[in-house]
Amino acid sequence: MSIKEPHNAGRSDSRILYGAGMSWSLILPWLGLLVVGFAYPVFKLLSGSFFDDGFTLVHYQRAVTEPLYTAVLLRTLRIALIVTVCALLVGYPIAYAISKLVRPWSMVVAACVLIPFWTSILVRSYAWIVLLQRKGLINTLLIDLGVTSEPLRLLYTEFAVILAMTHVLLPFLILPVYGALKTIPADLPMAAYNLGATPIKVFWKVVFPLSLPGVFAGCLITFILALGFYITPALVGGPNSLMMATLIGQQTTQVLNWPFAGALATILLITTVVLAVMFRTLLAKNRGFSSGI
Amino acid sequence: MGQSVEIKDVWKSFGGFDAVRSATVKIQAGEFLSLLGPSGSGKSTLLMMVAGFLQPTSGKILIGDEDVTAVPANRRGIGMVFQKYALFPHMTVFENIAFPLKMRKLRRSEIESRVGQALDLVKLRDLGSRLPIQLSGGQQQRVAVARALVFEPPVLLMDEPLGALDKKLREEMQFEIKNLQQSLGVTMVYVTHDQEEALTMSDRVAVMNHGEMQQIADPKTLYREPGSPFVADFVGKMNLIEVTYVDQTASGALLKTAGGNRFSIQNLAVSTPDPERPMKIAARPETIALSRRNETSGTLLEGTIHQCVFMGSMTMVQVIVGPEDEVVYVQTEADASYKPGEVAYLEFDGSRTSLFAHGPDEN
Repeated sequence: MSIKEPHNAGRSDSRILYGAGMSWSLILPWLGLLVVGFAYPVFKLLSGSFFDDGFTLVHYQRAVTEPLYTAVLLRTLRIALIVTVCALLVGYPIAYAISKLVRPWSMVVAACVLIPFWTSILVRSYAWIVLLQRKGLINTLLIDLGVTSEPLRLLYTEFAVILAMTHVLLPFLILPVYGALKTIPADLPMAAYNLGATPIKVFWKVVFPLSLPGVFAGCLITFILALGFYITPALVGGPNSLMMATLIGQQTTQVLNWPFAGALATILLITTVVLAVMFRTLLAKNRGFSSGI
Repeated sequence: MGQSVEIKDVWKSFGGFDAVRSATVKIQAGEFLSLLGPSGSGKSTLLMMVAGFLQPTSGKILIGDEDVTAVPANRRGIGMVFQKYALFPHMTVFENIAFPLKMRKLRRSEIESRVGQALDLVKLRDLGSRLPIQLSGGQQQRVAVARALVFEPPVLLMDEPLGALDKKLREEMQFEIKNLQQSLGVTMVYVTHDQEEALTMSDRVAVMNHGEMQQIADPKTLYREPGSPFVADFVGKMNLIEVTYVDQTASGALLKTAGGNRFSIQNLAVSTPDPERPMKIAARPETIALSRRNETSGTLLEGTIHQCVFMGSMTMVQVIVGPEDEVVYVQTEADASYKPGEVAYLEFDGSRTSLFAHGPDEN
């Protein structure tokens, strides 16, 4: 009833102030750029994968039947899933801490999350190379501590890819979770505590369920970004941790097989869309308090 | 089923600011006590300390005979209704009310029967499967009350629970809460800034201002014999007029307003008749009589009619006394026909008028 009124009132206000013409004139330049710079090339690439002197599915056949490509697709899904889970496990406590800490400290932790976020992915990926290489910081440390006598092979492994991608994508998880946690009214955990719940129960019965919209949003963004991630896996990964985006990159820049690259891109796109829709359905089933993302 | 709550010399400071200063009150088992005060008076802070969400800087809180000062909120077993109800939005009405029982690890069948009883108690029997967002404000309020009572707490705390409701529903809920509290015999500590609410519902009211309990009394005493100018002004409509004492005459105590008008009040008790000391008289609008002619000559306070406001069962007349445009409210019968600008005389009833020394820190 009355709770919803201010929300709707705000919407109709802007509709009164700005007519449809105003909205369209604001959207048009961006729309034009989108069509020329994104929709057209993607369409060209996709249609190129279907048409080669007439309609053909030969590229798709190759992508599906050759074990290398299905292996890469499955690996990509697996790595994206692991990265998402790792980011959730690491990111949720950080988001929770930022939402709980008082002023100067919450800013400090938030800055620790945001400053890397504003730093180029390239720089952050190279930083991992510095850390993980044979004579890098981590290996030197392990040898000095006597944990190992020989430097470990850390770089150009799947481990390195997962580690670096988790780090790079972490803010995409932390920010929506933090947003969801911040909107939980303070009196809800208080009420649960008053009603006899231990602090752990307060978290699992009240705080965590109410943060789920943010968790879903953050996981979805992280997962989708991880599926198509290019730079980091290309830099810190090796041949055994090849991912879809890197594979597509190779096809376009080295092998110059554009139709096949188009087919791979289409498969990745369809996979992403299907998973996104599944996520959304899951989110919609969440009762009554979804964030609408 | 209720238990007494004893607040013993409780202080709460935030940094250097004393939010609650030396609060002391013993609330009897089954009593309804309101903490009444303007925002920032410390009433909510005191309630948070009773609930266990805040630790007192010093002092003790006892429930029954047990000192609970160091007991965490989740083990105090006190029911609480929050200002915005604090219903869990992801749980149904049933799950909300079952929450405290689940935390106490009751058996499923027991939980079901007790939630059913609680729903009956607040007349929401058929709404158990709804989500809070699907309920009206009044219904949400009732769910919050049911959730706070379902585990049979000896003490129930309410923090301005009716603030979000409209006037009519509010008055309905006042009676319902009062009836529920009485029939269950639960001890109630009720925080409000609405003096009418405090007067109609409470056995006793503790008026708070600047972190201090100014007066603890039953509603009648509070209304008729306010202990301080603040209480006089905050509870009900009150005229506060600055005066100085002149003399004791045959027609009562002779006083002088700041503007120099002299008038006398019969039967007014003046404890410290000091002509140098500024004082304030406090008189309710319904205790002042208004007339056109000064029959007793020179002893009534002269004023000019400013405005008459018809209020249904009566008319509130605003009378300006003295050159400072000081307005005195007088309640007259509904069809009184005073016109603005007319001269009229005010007669005070000494037995129903309070006199306060005009101290430096009074407010």
